[in-house]
Amino acid sequence: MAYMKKELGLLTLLTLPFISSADWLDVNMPVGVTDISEEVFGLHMLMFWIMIAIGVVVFGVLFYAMWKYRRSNNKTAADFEENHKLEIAWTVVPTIILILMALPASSLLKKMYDHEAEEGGIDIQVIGWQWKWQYKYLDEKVGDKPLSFFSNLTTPSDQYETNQATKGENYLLEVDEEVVVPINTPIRFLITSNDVIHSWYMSDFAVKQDAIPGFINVAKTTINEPGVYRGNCTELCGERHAYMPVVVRAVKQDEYQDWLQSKKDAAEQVAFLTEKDWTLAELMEQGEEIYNTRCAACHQMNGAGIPGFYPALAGSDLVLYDKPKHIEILMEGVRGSQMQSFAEQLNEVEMASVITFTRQSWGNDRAGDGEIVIPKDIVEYKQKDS
Amino acid sequence: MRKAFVGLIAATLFMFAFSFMLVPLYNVFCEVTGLNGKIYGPSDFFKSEQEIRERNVNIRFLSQVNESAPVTFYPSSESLEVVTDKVSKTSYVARNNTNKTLTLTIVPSVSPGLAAEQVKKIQCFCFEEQILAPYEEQEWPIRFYVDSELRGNVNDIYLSYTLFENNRETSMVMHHDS
Amino acid sequence: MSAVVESHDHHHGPKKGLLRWLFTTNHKDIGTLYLWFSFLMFLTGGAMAMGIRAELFEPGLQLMDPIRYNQLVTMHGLIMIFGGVMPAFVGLANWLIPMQIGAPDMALPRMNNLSFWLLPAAFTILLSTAFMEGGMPGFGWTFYAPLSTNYPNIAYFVFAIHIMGISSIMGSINVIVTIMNMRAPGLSLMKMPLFVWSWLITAYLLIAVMPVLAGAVTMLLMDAYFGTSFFDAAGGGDPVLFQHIFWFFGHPEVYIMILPAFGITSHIISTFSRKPLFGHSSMVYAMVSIAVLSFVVWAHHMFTVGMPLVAELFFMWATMLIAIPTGVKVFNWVATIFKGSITYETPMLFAIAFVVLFTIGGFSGLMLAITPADFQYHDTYFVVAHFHYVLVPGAVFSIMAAVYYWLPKWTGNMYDEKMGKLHFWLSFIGVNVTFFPQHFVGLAGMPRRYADYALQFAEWNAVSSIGAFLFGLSQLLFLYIIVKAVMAGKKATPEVWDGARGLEWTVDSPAPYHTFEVPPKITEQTKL
Repeated sequence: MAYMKKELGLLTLLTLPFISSADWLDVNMPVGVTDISEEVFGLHMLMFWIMIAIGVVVFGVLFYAMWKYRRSNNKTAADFEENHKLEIAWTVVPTIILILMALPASSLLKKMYDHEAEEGGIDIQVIGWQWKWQYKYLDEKVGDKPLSFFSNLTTPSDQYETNQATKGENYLLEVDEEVVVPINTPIRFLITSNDVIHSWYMSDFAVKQDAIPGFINVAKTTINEPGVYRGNCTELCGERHAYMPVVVRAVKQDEYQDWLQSKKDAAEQVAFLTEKDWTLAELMEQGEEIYNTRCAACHQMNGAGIPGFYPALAGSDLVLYDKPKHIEILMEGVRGSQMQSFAEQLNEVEMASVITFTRQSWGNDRAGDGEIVIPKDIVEYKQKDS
Repeated sequence: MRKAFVGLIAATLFMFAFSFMLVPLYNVFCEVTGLNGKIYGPSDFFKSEQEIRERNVNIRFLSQVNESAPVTFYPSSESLEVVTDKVSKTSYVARNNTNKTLTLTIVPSVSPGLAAEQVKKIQCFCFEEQILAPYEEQEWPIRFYVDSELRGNVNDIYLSYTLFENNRETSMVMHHDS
Repeated sequence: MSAVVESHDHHHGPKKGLLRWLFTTNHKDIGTLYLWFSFLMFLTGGAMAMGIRAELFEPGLQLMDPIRYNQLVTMHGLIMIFGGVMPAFVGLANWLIPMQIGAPDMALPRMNNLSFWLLPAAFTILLSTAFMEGGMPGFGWTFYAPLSTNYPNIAYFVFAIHIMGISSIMGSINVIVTIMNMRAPGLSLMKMPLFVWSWLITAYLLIAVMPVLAGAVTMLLMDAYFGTSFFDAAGGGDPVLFQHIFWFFGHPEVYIMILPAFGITSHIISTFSRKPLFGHSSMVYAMVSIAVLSFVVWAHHMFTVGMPLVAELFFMWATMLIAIPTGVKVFNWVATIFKGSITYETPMLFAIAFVVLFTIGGFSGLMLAITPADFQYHDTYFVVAHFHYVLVPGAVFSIMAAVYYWLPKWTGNMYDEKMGKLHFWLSFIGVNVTFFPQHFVGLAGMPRRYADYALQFAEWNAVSSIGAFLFGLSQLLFLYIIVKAVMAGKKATPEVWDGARGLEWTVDSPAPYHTFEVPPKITEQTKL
C-alpha cells in the first residue's frame, strides 16, 4: 500500500520537530518527594507492566492469528464455537491477576487514609476561590487570627492573552504567595471551598482532594526534599480554571521559622503603615502591582474590561465620581456577580493603593484633583461598619 | 405487547421517582457511614454511669464564610480539650456587617468524617436558620459531647462551620454589569 | 444461503419527497434518518473538537477566551454522546433489529417516528443558546453543581436533555417490545444474533438510567429556579449528592455507548474470519454481567471527593471486576479469528482496530480503577486519553465498521474498497496520534478542561492537535465514500460478504422497503 507509506512519512515529518524537543522525563508520573508518592509511583509502574505483559500476550496471539490464518494462507476456516477448558482458564487467570493487583492497592490506600494528627505536625486550611487559593496556618497566630494569605497567579496577562511577551519558565505555575512548609514534618491540608467545587492537586505529593463548599476534606503529607513544587486546580470551576496554580515551597525547619516570623512582622508593619502619611506616587506604585495581579484578569490591563462580562473601569462614572461607593464595592463585592469582596484578601494599605491607582489611571484623573484614598479611609470604612 | 409496553413505561416512571428517592437514601447512607462528615439533628445526652468511658480528645473549631457573605464569623475559642462522654460548651460569634437583616444557614462538617457520628450536639445554631438584624452581633452557643464510641485512634477532631447567606442571588459565572 | 425471501410490493412503497421523511413509520427510513442525523452531529461535535485542539496547539490563548473554550468542551461532550454515538446506535438498531429477527418492522412504528423527530428539536434548543446572551453551557458535560446551578441559559440545557431522554426511552421501549414479541418463529433468545442481544441489554440500561438523568436535571432546574436545595449546602443540600446521582446515570451510560459496539464487532469478525463466533452464549453472559456491574461502580468517578475508606475500597474492587467479563469478550474475538480464513476488507480493519484500541482503553481503565494511583490520574489528560480510546476507536470505529459492513445491504451498492481502506488508515493513525500522547501529558500532570497549560506540555499537545486535524479531516473522506457509494457504487449481491451469517443477508440488496412480511422459518440449518 504505497499511498499509506506516503501518509506516514508526511505525518512523521510534521510531528518530528515537536517530539524531538519533548523532554522524555515529562511522559510519566513524577516519583514525587513523599514516601506515599514514591509508593504510588511504584504501584502505578507495577500496574503499567502488568498491562504491558497482558497486552503482549493478547495482541501477540491476535497478530499471529491475523497473519497465520489470512485467506491466502488458509483457504478453509475451522468451525469450532466453544472450548470450555479454555473459557474457564481465561476467566480464572484474570481473576487471580486482579486479586494480586487489588492487594497492594488496598493496603496503600489504607495507608493514605491515615489522616490523624501527629506530634509536631502542622495544619493548613486550604480554601478554593474563583480563581485563587487561600491558605490559613491554623497553628500560627497574627493578633488573634490565624496567619492567612491568598495565592494568586502572577504570570502577566500579556504572556497568555495577547501572547506578546515571551512565556516565562514557570508560565501559569507561578504565584505571588507560595505556601511555605517545613520538610520532614507531617502536614495536614484541610481543604474546603468558598464557592464552587475546586480540587487541590499536587502530583509531587500524590495529593488530589476536592474542595467542596460546606465540607472539609483532609490530605496528609510529609515532604522529604526541600524545593518548590507546582500543581493545579483539577476540578472545572469556571472561566479561569486553568489560572489558579498551587505552589508549595518546602524548606528546612529553621528557614520555615524565619519565614513565619517575617510574615508576622509584615502583618504588624501593616498596622504601622496604616498610620503613615502616603503620597500619590507611593500609592500608585503599589496600586499598579496589585491591580495587575488581582484585577487585570477581568478588568484588563487597560481598565477597559470585557463588554458584556466585566465592566470597564476606565471612564466609569462610579470610579470617576463616587469614592465611597468605590470603596464599598471593593470591601463588599457586588452581589450577583463575580466581583468578590476583597476585604479579607487585601490589607488596608493594599486596598487604598489599588483604589487610588484605578481612580488616577487611564484618564480617570479627569477631575484633576489628584484625590487619593489613604489606608485610613479604609480603616474608617471598617469602623463605620461595626 | 401492550403489557410489555405498559410495563416499560411504568419502569421508566419508577426510575424517575427513584432518582428523587436517592436524596433521602443518600442522607441515610451518609448518616450510617459518616460520608462527608455530615452531622444530623440534635441528640440528647443519655449515658448511664456504667457506659461512661473518659478520655481526652482535642477539638478544633474552624469557620468559613461562603461567597464573601457580609458577615464576620469566628469561633470564640479555636480549640478545646474535651473529655469523652462529658458535655462541653463553646460558642461562635457572628456579626452582620450590613444595614439589612440577614438570614443565615450554617452548615457543619466534621473531619475525620467517620468521627461525625460521635460528635453529638445537644444545642447548636446549625439546627435552624439564624437571623441577624442590621449590624447586630450575636454569640451562638454550642453544647455537645464526644461519644466514647469514638474509634481509639482518633484523638483530634476538626469541627468546621460554613456560613451561607440564604436567598442570595448569585452568579458564579457571568458578570452582569452593575 | 437459503432462498431470497420474496418482497411483496402489493401495497404502498415509500411516499415521494420530503413528507416521506417527516411522516415515515418505516424502520429503514427512520434508521436512515437517525444515521444521517448522527453523522451531522458527529461533524458538528468534531468541528468543536477541532476548535479545542486548535486552541491547545500551543500554550497561551490564541483563538478564544476561556469562557468560549469551556463552552466548546461542554458542547463537544454533549453533542458527541447524545447526538453522535447514541443516535447512531439507535439508527443501526432500527435498520438491523427487524431484519435480524425476521420482523416486518419495529413494534411501535409511530412512536419510532416521534422518537427520532424529537432529537433535532432537542439539539436545536441546545445549540440555540449559542446565539443568546450568556451563551452555551460551559460547565462540562457532567454539569457538576454548584457551578451549573448558577449558569445562565441552564433551562434550555435542561429542556434539551429532557427531550433527548424521552427520545432515548421511547427508542428503548420500541427495541425491547420488538425483540420480545416479533422474533421469527424458532428464533429463541439464546439463538438471537449478538447485535440484537447487545441492544436488548442496552435498552434495559437506558430505561433504568435515562430517567435518573432526567431526575438530576430536574433537581438542578428546581435548585436554579424554584428555590429548592437538593445540591445547595446553604439549604441543607449537598453538592456531592449531585455527583452520586449523575454518575449513577453516567456509568451505565458509558456502557450504553459500548455494548452495541460489542455486538457489531462480533458479527464483523465472524464474517471476515468465515467462522462462527466463538462463545456466543458466553458473550451474552459477559454483556449481562457488564451491565449489572455498571450499577455498582459509579463512585469510581469520584475517588477524590473525600469518601470514607470502605467506600473507596468497595468501588475499586467492583470496578476491577468489570475487567473479567470484558476480558472474556476480547478473548472470544481472538478465538474467533483463530483458525479462520481471514480477509481484511474495510469493516474488518475497523473491527480489528476496535478490538486492539478498545483493549488499550481497557488497560488504562483498569489502571484508573486502582484508587491510590487514581489520585494522580483523576481529572488529568490520562482520563481524557482513556475515555477517548474507548469512545473513538471504540464506539465510533464500530459504527464506521457497521456502516461499511451493512451499507451494501442498505443501498444495494458497494463502497469503494480502496477509498474505504484509505479512510481506515487515516482514521487509525489520526486517532492514535491524537490520543496516545494525551496519556503522557496526563501522567505528567496536565489537568483536563484547561484552556491553557504550562510549557512542559507544549510538545505533546502540538502532536495531539496535528493528529486531531488529520482524524477530523479524514471524516470528510468518509462522507465522500458514502455519497459516492449511494450515487454510483457497484451493485451488491444479496449476500454481499461470502462469510456473512444472519437473516438480513437473505433479503435482496438493497433491502426492499418491506421485508419479512411473512416471517422466515428458523431451523437448525439457518446460519445465524
